[in-house]
Amino acid sequence: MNNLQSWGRLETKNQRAMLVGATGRELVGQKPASVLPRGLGRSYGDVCLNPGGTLLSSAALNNFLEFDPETGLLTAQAGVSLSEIQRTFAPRGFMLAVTPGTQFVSIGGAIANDVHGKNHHAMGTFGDHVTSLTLARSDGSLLECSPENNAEMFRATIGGLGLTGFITQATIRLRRVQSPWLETESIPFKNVGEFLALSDESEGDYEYSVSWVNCATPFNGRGIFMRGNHAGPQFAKKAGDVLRSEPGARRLAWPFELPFSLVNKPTVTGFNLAYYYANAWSAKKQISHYQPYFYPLDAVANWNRMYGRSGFYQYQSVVPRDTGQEVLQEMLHKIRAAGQGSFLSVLKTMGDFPPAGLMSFSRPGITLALDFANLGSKTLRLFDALDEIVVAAGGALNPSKDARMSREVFEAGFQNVQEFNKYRDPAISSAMSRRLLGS
Amino acid sequence: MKIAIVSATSTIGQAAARYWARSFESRGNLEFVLVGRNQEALDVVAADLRVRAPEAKVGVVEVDMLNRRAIEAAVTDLGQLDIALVCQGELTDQTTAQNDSSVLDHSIQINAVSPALFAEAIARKFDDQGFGKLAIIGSVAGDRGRKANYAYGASKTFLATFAQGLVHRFAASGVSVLLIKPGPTASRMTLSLANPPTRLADPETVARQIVRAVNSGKRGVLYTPPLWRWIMLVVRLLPNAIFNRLNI
Repeated sequence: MNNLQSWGRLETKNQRAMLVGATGRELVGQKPASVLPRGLGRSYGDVCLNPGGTLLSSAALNNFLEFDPETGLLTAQAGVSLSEIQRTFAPRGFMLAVTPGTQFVSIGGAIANDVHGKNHHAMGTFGDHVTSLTLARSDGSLLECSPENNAEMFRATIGGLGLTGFITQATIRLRRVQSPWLETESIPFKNVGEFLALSDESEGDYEYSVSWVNCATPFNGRGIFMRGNHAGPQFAKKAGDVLRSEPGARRLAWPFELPFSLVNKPTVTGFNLAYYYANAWSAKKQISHYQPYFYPLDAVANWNRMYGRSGFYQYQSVVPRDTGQEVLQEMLHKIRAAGQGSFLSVLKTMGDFPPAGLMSFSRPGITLALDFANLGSKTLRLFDALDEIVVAAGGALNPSKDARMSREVFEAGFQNVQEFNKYRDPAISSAMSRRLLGS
Repeated sequence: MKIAIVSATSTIGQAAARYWARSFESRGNLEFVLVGRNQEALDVVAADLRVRAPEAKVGVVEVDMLNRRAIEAAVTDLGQLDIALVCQGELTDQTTAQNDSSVLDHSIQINAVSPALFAEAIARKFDDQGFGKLAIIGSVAGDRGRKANYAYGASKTFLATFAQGLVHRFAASGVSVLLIKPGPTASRMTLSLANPPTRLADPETVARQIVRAVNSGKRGVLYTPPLWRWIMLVVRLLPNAIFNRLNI
């Protein structure tokens, strides 16, 4: 039994679970609601936790199986990390079509959480690029699922939070790129209205767009809009291409856990001021390598330790676009009033894609992701207040990041829960499913 | 460049093969022979290497790892080789080995006898060729017997002496022999341990250090990560009066 945590490091007690290297067959014969598939444990909340039970790790399933350079179709085992895909294929002119803000997640985890990235408005979610997957179930079956085959199970597994079975392998479509470099541009904005105007202006011509927004006290609501496109072939062999794709190259690590959080009011305010001016003053077009552009935080391993022993929450919401401006302003005001600035706050518009999965979080609208140090009930009270705003606006919270939303808030955002329950595997349960789905 | 990986499904063996595939990718004349006891598992490792290095040739040889005749025949069939990495091993549960002699027996067979038989057969081939680089995976566990893992550690001590002899034998030839002593490394062996050591080395880092050392023709012993050389020096130098009181 090991004490296992998720990326938010919130729970320290009673989190003991058995971690076993799995291939999927282990599901057979398990007691009801006792096991949970687990990838690389990078989810913030309790979607990847199963205290008192067993976690079936896909870590040993880390092989590529097949790649067709004509179609870009890659078949790989579920435990392969996105970083492995990027660094293997970027030098050959292929990259993931969709990638989240960290590359240290597994394919299985990316599917189960139907993750999205900075190009949602252009490319949809990770699940939109999965052409098939293999699902091991506790009844001993090994289901080939695709839009043609076991289509309902396929839709339930994409964004299914690991609850429909153990994904053993998947085929995903990589996209062609002409270099591992991106042409990027940073533009400061003063408020949510300007952010939306920049989004409207950029979405047609820029594949990537994401904004950092100031959630600390002075200048609340201003931020930096960052947009970009893959760079052309003239950058293909720029020096350092290979070197920077190497693992461990120039990677720092947060060496130890602090007894207290470094993230507090003065540091959040200071960081937010510094971040704004650093980017506003250098606002210009530049060429960025995909690593720092897609994965800025990956440069510091274990950065989650900076929040100290109590851990931290991420709060990600999506609200409809038409009322989004007022709703976001209300949320930012609420955060300011609570005096609990968020260290990193990310704002992004999401495109008009139909959700890839039955339970996908991504939907048309505006999404705001906030990181908060865990200050106990004070933090939770702020979340409750934000929940009210999100639910009233017809929005939803991202379960992949969540550790505390109520069942009511969850059901308000995810109307397919009843339908989804039909596809669950009876042997599988997580801390999150017990909290939000009742079992 | 023809490379044989014995027990290619082991975490370190596979990580080393991947690193070779990366570093030789553009040269095109790379050939792997993956040796192991399970065809199905070897095929997955082979598929992975083919995706990583489409230009490389990848072959698979299934062999009974505990049968000396099968081992000798398999090594003969490999033909001319440039590099061989011998990495079979199973982490033995010490308490089980103390109480079940079949577990102890199997541990010695797979961790000592099998790699020695492979190493000797490959050494004969390299001797005939007049060149070749042989690397054998030992362990820091072989540096001093400890109550926590002597069933496993003793086999690694045996391998260390065996490799030392090979190094001596080939000292003035074109054949290099290297014993690798990895510290605790994250692998399939450690994933399900009840109490995994808090600091496990990343197999990729270990593989990179191994491949670089083997490629350069290093002879003797390689500790990886290198810090373990100094840790084990201290462990070896501790007087029994102190060592025997420690709960390590």
